[in-house]
Amino acid sequence: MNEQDFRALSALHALHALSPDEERDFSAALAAHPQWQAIVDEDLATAAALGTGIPAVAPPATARRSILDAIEQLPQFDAPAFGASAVPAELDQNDDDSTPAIAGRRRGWLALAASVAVLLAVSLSFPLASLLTPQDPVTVALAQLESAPDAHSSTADIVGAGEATLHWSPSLGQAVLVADGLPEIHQDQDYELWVIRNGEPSSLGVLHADSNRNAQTLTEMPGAGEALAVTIEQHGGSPSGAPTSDPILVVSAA
Amino acid sequence: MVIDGIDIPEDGATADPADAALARAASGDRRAFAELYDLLSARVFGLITRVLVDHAQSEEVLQEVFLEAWQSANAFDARRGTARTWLLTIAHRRAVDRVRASQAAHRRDLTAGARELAVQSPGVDDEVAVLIDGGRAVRGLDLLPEPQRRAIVLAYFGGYSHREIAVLLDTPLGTVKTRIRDGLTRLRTVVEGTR
Repeated sequence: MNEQDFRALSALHALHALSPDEERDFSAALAAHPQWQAIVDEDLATAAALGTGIPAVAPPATARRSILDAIEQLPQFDAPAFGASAVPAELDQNDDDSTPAIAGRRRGWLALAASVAVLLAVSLSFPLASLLTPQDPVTVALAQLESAPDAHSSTADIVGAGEATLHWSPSLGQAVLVADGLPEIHQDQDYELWVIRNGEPSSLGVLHADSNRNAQTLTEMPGAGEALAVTIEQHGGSPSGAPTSDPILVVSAA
Repeated sequence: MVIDGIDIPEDGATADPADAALARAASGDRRAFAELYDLLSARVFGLITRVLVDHAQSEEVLQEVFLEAWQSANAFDARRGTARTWLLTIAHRRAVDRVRASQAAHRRDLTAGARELAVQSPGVDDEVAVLIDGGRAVRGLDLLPEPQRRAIVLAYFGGYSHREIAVLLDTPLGTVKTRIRDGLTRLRTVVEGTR
């Protein structure tokens, strides 16, 4: 990554507008080029200036008490090992096959990615618009996809539950994943979305569902031979950056 | 210059007391942490409520922010920025995380500023100007070309990812990235020019 590309990511990072996988690219580039830290610090300061440009709002007095009470029992973390940023350290996630268990898991994923080709892929129109309210980015994207001349969709079953459809248009460069009827999860779990490239899952972040366990999200358009997958992970997503369970859904832009 | 009731010298020769409070809090000083809270909690809460709107959720996020600040105070490095920037960065990240989670649950109540911006109708910018008032950085926002301002406001105050902004503005992703980069660079010169 050159400095100009990094500057583009740094601005988006400062506004928290990057997707989780781009956030990882950003962190990796920063680790490789520590001299770019100054760019990041400047952008964060500029973004924070936006935050101080709006009126202050005094929080309720009860909030102060409960926060100060809470820290009485709360331990503090040690200083970071090297002067890295506030970005969570996830840079070790690409280490190859750190344990046999993970290697085995990866082989499983390779096999799954290979089997993606057999999934049902159909082109159909969008009976979804009525479900959604206007001005939601997902709604807008679905409407744009609906009128795109090269709109496609691909549907796959969710293990033990409903089904999911990936809608995409190469000309728009957009894709939307609509998952209906995700399986039940515990309160301390989340669904996590992955893109599988060359058999390697890379996190696209937590997939948030509504109270009916339906989820819709804008996503990257998987390329040829790539697929999207969803796993059930601990709350906030897998801390290792790799899936810890088999996917409940795999769908490709076949 | 007076910020949050504290006289901060224009030349920056004397540090913001929040920097010293956070540095002391990092070594376990709870009284210093309370001081930090008193100095910056209204600032932090103002940002959270602007992004999240919902008051009850904003209080929860305020608590998350200060608990994270307490736990990771050691990560604060005064050579890299101010306590104010550090804390507002945490607050913004947590507010955006929360708005994304809750918008998925509700398919989606847009925040006021973002909704008006997303609809490209005349007169909208007056409302946004009113919504986002005061302060030198926001004066800087006013100086930005319209496309850059839209993209930055949707990201920072609306909590949208750049992919979502591209959809809302019906603009290619690369263009959105460029607008945000250029807009932030221009903002910085304005912020620095008035310092």
